[in-house]
Amino acid sequence: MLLIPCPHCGVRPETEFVYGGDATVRRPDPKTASLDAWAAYIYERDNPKGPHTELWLHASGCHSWLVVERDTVTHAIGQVRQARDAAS
Amino acid sequence: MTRNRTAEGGWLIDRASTGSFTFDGRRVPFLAGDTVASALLAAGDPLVGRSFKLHRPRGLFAPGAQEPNALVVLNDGGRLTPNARATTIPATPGLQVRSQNRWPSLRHDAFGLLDLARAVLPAGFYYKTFMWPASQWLRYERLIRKLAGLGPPPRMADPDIYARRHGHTDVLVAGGGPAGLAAALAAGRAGMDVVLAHSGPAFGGGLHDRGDGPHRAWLAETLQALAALPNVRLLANTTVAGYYDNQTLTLAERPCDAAPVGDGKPVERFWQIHAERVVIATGAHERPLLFADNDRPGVMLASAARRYLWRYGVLAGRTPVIFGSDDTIYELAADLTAAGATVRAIVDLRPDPGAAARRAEAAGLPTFAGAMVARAHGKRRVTAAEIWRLGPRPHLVETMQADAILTAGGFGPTLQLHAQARGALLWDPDFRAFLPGPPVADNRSAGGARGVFDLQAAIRDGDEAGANAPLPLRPPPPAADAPAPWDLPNLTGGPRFVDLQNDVADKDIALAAREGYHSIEHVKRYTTLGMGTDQGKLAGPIGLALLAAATGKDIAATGVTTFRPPATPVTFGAVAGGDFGEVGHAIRRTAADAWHEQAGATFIDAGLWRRPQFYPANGKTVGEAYRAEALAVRAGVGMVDVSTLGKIDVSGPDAATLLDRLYCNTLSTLKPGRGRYGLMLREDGRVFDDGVVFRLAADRFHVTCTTGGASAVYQHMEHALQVIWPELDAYATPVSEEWFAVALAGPKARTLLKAIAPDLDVSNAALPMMRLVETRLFGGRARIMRMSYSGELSYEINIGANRGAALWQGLVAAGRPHGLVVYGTEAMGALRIEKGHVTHAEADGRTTPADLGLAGMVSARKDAIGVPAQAFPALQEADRKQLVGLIAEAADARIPVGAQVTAEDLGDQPRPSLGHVTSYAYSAERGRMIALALVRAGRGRIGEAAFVVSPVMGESAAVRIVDPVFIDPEGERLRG
Ligand SMILES: [Zn+2]
Repeated sequence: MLLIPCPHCGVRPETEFVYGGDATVRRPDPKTASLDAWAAYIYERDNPKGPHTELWLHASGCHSWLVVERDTVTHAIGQVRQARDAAS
Repeated sequence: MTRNRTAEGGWLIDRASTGSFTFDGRRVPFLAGDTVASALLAAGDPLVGRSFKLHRPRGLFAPGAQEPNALVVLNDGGRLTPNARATTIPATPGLQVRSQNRWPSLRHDAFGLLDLARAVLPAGFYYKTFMWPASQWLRYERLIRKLAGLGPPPRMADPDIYARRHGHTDVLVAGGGPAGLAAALAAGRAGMDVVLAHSGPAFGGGLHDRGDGPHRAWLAETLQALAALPNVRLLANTTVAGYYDNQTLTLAERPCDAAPVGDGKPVERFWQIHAERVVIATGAHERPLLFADNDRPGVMLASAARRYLWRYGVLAGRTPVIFGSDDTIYELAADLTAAGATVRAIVDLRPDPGAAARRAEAAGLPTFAGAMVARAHGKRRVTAAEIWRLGPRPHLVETMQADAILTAGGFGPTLQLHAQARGALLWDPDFRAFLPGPPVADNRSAGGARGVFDLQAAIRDGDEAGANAPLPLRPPPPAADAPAPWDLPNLTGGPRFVDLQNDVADKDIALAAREGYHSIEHVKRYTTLGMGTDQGKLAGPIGLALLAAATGKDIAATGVTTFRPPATPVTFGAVAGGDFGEVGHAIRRTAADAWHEQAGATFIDAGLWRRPQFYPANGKTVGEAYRAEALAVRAGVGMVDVSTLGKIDVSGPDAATLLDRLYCNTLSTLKPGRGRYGLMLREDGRVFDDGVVFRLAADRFHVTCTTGGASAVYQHMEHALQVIWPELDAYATPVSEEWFAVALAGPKARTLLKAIAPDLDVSNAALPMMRLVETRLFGGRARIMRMSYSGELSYEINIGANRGAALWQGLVAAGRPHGLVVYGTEAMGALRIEKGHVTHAEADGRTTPADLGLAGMVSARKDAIGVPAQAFPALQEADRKQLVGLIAEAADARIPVGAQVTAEDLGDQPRPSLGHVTSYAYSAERGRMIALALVRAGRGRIGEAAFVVSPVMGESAAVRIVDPVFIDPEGERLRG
């Protein structure tokens, strides 16, 4: 059971969250992006062993999308930020 | 008194308090404190079950939860519990215990003949024999299930109460033996919050498996000290089942033991505990020894014999042979002799056993050094042991009459929890066992679980673990001056069982290796080694060593199978807790739910919502009712509760921009008060959801989505707002529950609306399609939206949920003179199929707007999620499945459930599928069954004949491929 410290709600169990995948991908610029760039954005994901920056939605809480640093080996949770802040 | 009960002694029993339970209908007396197993053994018969595959007679074998043989059925009716381990079930008055996996009786098992067929039932037998021809597998499986069953499942609801609790603690100690007690005391005295979980009723564990001594006083003092600490919680009868990430553990507690209660107390309690630190003090398991027919009832681990003797005053046999490789066998022989048994022989694998052996010999006990028990005689119980001298020319020394063979093959730590917490297991050749490697999570193994087998050392180790002292180095290994259990030769031939529960013998593992299975995970699945309810606790290490030998690898390189929770079986009842039946999940009810209930509606689940599927008042069966309901809508007026549809309020200066990016069509051009059908895509170009969007004001929209998609659509919106375009100034608020919603549909819908809103101009000019007006109805603020799902003239009325019941009842009353019929989801489905509207059956996550005939909705003039992906070549292939309609050729033809669409009807013969039926209904208007289907290049096939076939149902019907809109293609009715 992961415990994720939500910046708004405090430390909460993973059952309150919905996983949102790799947080580092950026939606391509629709004016300039090639089809390959779209394919990469939609389908291509790394499957790293170790640190991973990922999105979690606090669905049973404040409904914030969070950017969570998680180690895929140890499941240790590092920094947690609001996606809105992480983007800026 | 019973046959094998000693004259005195037994730490856990009360000789003054007696009772009886039944075993296969026979009365079995017991003493208070007995387990089912100890009482059965006291009664004199170790035979408790039949093995899983070969139906060989099996007896009590191991001391506790690792018991592979004594699986029994408890109780009857709703309280029936299969596969209970007799060694862990307290004997209680009136308990019904039955042996399992035998027919007609334990002694005379008809399937025992399978044992004669052992030669033809090798590893992988089922895979090899029964998979061909594949079409027959279902038939074979039914027979195999009958033969190779564990206990039967209960067929009635369980009347007992199960509870669930969550907890937090500084230190969780798993195991209440000497190390665990010492750890709990040290941590408790240091002021920590401690939970100490012990799998049995009596804290002390192995301390109860030996005679009197200073350790008894230590146990009493320690228990007293623990009881005096308010920060220590003692959980007896509690197994730590799972150890998960972030120090989350699950515990199964049986506060009322196995006795049926029914006094409102839970029979089991499932804990989920978060522990800052875990001490794993779950002890060690004794390894079985390999010899021919080592599974006969009466063959037992020495540790089990010790436990029966000291805890329960029960002799494992009156004339036992004791076989092993260390000094404990002489100790056990002396203890059993003192308790009244006649030890027939002590067989020591060591050629030169030393002082203990000499003392035993001097005491008149027959001892055999450098020897082994090579074979057990007897079938339903041991009658003799063949003692063979080892050496360059092994030979039979004596066939010793005996009623039990007690084996001492050395101990290995229990590793389940350490391994579940991702700790590595390190093969230690000196221990001949895996030891826990450095822990990865915040835990430490202590005592026997770490290889510290000496009692004083284990107490010290537990004390240090409780005080969180640094983990010391590897404990000193026991002497290894005899062959390892897996190195013993098979001198007599005959099966030597490694996994008793699953009937895996040494030659099965050798066969698997010869056939190319070299990974232990593959061998496990191929031979079923370790796949029983005991999870191979005893079999695992030996199986591994045998595989290593057969493949020429060393044991460390062979590795271990994955340890998965639960460490010991947990009942479904405990895991489910109170979450079943009516309270299994929350039920969402619309404001008109009480009316539906009173009207006798048959409900159907839609996510958490319950919705009327049909009203039996309209027809006897679901088919009759929905046809009548749908017909009434087309002919007059009907109404349906649509409150469950998702509703999201989107507001803010950038609300219109947000919606333009969320929907593939343009919504920003809507004028206030007007609505438009919107199609939402996933970024990969597939249809995600749909619904009607009304603009309430320049900066505010009322968005509807499907019942099933409501929460996903909201998450998707928040993802767009927070992750993709955080610069947009807009807000999404789910408001589904704020509104009660009803759809009026049918040619007389306007008449009915007029009746409840006499002051409102409801003319076609004032309220045309896709127009919204706000008004007051039945004392509440209401929104009336002209839109149509059924294809008829239709309005959707939304009103504050607290006025919902009033609106619904008001409509029922006002509709009576107009012949209003209330309809359910079934009729709603039939109406939308006639109209060719898609739902998630068609927008199944694979279909694009073009597949569904909605390509025209995709606007290329703006950016929106899923629009760029429309250009992917795969989404433009000519033979993609496309939405079409199907209409039955014959008026009485049925469309089978789950049907495929084919060009030819070839009966039972296989044939290529052109596509599949997604929804079907009876169309009253067309007078036959119709369907929507996804068919390869389907739009090009319109007009062609085809078949809908279901080989599973054995049904087929001739159909014609048609346009998916079956009625009113021009939409004249809904605009009228
Ligand atoms: Zn939160």
